[in-house]
Formats: sequence, structure tokens, C-alpha cells
Amino acid sequence: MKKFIIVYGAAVLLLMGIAEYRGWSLMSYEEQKGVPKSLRENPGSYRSSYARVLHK
Amino acid sequence: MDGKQEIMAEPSLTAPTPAPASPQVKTLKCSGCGSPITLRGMERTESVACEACGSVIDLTDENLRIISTFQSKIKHKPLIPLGSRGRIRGDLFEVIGYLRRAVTVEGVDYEWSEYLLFNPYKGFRWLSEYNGHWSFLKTTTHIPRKKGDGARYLDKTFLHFQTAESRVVFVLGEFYWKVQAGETCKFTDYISPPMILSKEQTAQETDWSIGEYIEPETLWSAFKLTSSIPARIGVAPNQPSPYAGQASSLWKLIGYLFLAAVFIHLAIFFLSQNKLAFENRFTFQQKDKGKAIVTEFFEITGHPSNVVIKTAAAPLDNSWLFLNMALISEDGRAYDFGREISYYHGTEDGSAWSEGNFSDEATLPTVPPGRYYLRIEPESPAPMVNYHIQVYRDVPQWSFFFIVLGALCILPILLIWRLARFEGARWSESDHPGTMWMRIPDSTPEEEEGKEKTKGKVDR
Repeated sequence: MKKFIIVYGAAVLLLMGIAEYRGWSLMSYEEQKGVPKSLRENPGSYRSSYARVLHK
Repeated sequence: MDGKQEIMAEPSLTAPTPAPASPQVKTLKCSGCGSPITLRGMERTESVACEACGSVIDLTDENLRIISTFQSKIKHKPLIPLGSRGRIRGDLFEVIGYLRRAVTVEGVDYEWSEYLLFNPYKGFRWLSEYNGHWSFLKTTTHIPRKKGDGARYLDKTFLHFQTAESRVVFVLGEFYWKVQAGETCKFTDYISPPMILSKEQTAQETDWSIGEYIEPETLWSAFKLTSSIPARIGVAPNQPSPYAGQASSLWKLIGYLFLAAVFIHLAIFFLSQNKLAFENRFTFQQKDKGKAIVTEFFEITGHPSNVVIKTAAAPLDNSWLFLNMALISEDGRAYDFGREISYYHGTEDGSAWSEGNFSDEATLPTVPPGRYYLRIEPESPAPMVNYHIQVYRDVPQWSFFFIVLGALCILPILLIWRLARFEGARWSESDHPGTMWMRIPDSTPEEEEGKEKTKGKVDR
């Protein structure tokens, strides 16, 4: 029991430490790569997946 | 001095006495079948049961008359053979007698074994075995006091466990009384694990004995037994809880874990940057519908951590503002998300109501450092909405801290559940099943003295 508490407690604390340090979040988002630099000149060329799904 | 100390540390027991170098035995012929019978009790026993025919012979009678005969079809074999010698609590004892007792509860017979031990300097002791659980017993030095339905002995409160009538169903070897086939007695057990206080009442006398739970491995080692140790079944009345002894250290450990969680959280909280990386005000108008804007570049520094986008909007009067946003890095990585801010209010059945609010907070996880900008595409049915966006880097979060507190709360719940399960199993075979939480002894001694007339059972 003691060993279990130590292992479980350490794992939970470690996870909390990592989560808080790395700034984990439960928020949903989409990650995309390779967005062209030209987007700054033509912002309308980028289409948010959220706009289409959630608020068409 | 508590009961345990009495068993383990009574002065006469802690100073081991010399034991006979070799067993002093005497033999006689069984009056029933003529088989040889070995006597080990050094003339301090009054009866002996023949292993071959089950006859119990009166050793105080010069003609060795048979006082009863056990006609049991089942020949029980003692787990510790008669004649075995072993050192228990520092003293050498020899097994001289073995008997089986039975009790019938709700039509079911329950049997247990008792081994009579003898040391010429210490007298008699008992080993009791039930379902693989063992107790080492001796007679009490004085009469325990009554305490409610329990008993008080050596400053310890014992809880009533069970009262029943037992009968002798099988005997082997010698005894210090004239044991009879089917002999009955009313017994009452009181417990304060690992101690057990037992009262045995017959028409003639009342005997009290105090016992301590003993690990079978200790006995097997003491008697140098080569047989396998029978598995323990269930929980014995006086079996010490494996959790009770550790409970305080486990509670302490759980407390330290909670403290560690607070410490880690506060350390990360105070070391967080919580730095404003970008801030600007914008206005949405219907003519801008469908148009996206981008902000200037801003720097996000430090180790990979969260980025919090705080938004506030006004005026919102029964309306909403939806922002399609993307946090885009200089090297082309985009975190795409959408947030809605809405505020509605009104009156229904004479009472005012409102829902929503004018601000929002979005947290993007583990964003690496670099140069970023925001792409914002607003939508709203309102003719015009002003909104304010702030981007913060490495903002301390409370959510995981509370999740961890919840996860750590599982530990005390688990500990209490295991304690309760063990105690539930213990009390399930008592006269008080399901009442273990109400049966916690208090430390106030009861002054009522036991009035039974007692007779020393084993101190002869």
C-alpha cells in the first residue's frame, strides 16, 4: 500500500509539474504547418477550419 | 502494561527458563485397546486420550479407568504433532494435547483446533488455530472487568466479538482436566487486535485466558515443521489489520503528497512569466464582414509553455461576436481556434435574466518560443462591436492543481475502503456484523468489576 501511494503520488505530482510547466490545456484547437508567408499580405487566403465547422 | 506486553514481556516469560534437556516421558498401556500411550505432562495432567482407539483415560485413577470414548469417524491429525517442542516468546514448550472444538451457528458447524503446550517451569499454554490463523494463549493473572458488553483488562478495552456454546469433538494426548466426549462450555470472545480475551464458562467454573495473534511462519519456524503452512482463510477475530499499523504513516505520507502538490504548484506559479506579449483594440463593422486582419509580429519568449488569448468585447446587447483566430509563427506553424463572446438578457415572468458575458479566455498549450502574429476573422450580427485582445505568455493555471488534488483524494478514499473491507471481513463472523465503525473502544475505564468466580485454568 505504501509503495503504491508513493508511486501513484509521485506520478500524479510529476504529471502536474509537467502539465503546469509545459502549459497543457484542455482547449481544442487545430495545428497546421506550412502557412505561407504571403498570408500577411492576403489574410483572406487562409480559411480557419473552426469558422467552417462552428460558425458557417 | 497492555495485554500484548503481558504475553510478550511478562517478567516470568522474558527470562527464559531452562527446559529439560530431553523430553521426560512415561508410557502406559491404553485400558481400552492396549496400545502404548506416551505421557509428557510430568504428572500434572489428569487425562489422556488414546490415539488408537479414542478412549480417554483417567490418570488420577489407579485402575486407569476409561472416562469417555471419542467415536469420531474422522481422525484429525494435528498440524503440530504431539511431542513437538518449540520456543515461543523465549520459552520452550512441548505439545502434549490436541483437541477439536466445534460450534454450531445457524445450523452450520464451525470447528477449530487447540493445542495444549507444557513447560514444567511455566505451566500450560494454548495454541488455537482456525482457518490457518493462530493465537498463543495463557490464563489471565486476574479477572477482567466488564465494560459495557466488552471487557477491560490491563488498561485495554476489549470489544465483545462472539458468544456461543462449543463442544469437544475430538481429543488426542494429555489434558489437565478430565476431558469428556461432547463436553460443552459457553465461551465469549473479546478482541483488541492482536489480543483476544476469552471467557469459558461451565456449570462449575469460569476461566479467562488472554491470547495474542501469532504468525504461522513463526510457529513453523519455532517447531521446525517441514510441512507446508495451511493458507489463511478470511480474517481472524484478533488478526492485526495490515493497514491499521500503517494508517498513521500512510496518512502522513498522503499529507506530504498534498503539501508537495501545493509546493510544486506555487513554485511553478511564481516562476511563471505571465508576460503580456501583445495587446490591441479592434472594431468590427458590418462592412468588414468576411474580412480577416493580421496583427504585427510579437515575441513569445521562454520555454515551450502556454499562450493565453484574452478577449473582451462591447457593446454586446443580446448579440454575439465570433472570432476565428489563428496564432501563426514566422516559420508557418498555425494554431487555429474559434471563440465566441455573447451576452443575452431579458425579462421572463417578471424576473430579469441574463446569460453569457463580455470576455473570454483561450489557452493554447505548449507553444514554442518565436515570433508570432494573430490572424483574426470576426463575425457578428451586431452593426458594430469593439473588441480588445491581449496575448499572455506562460500564464499559471489552477486547473491541473485542482485535478491533482482530486486525484490525491483517491488515496485516502482507497485507504479507508481497504481498512473498512478488512474490518468488515473480521466482524462478519461476529455477533455484530456490519457494526465495526460503531465498535471503537474508548479509553475510559469502567469501574464495574467482574464478579464471576474464577478458577485458574492453566496455572497449576
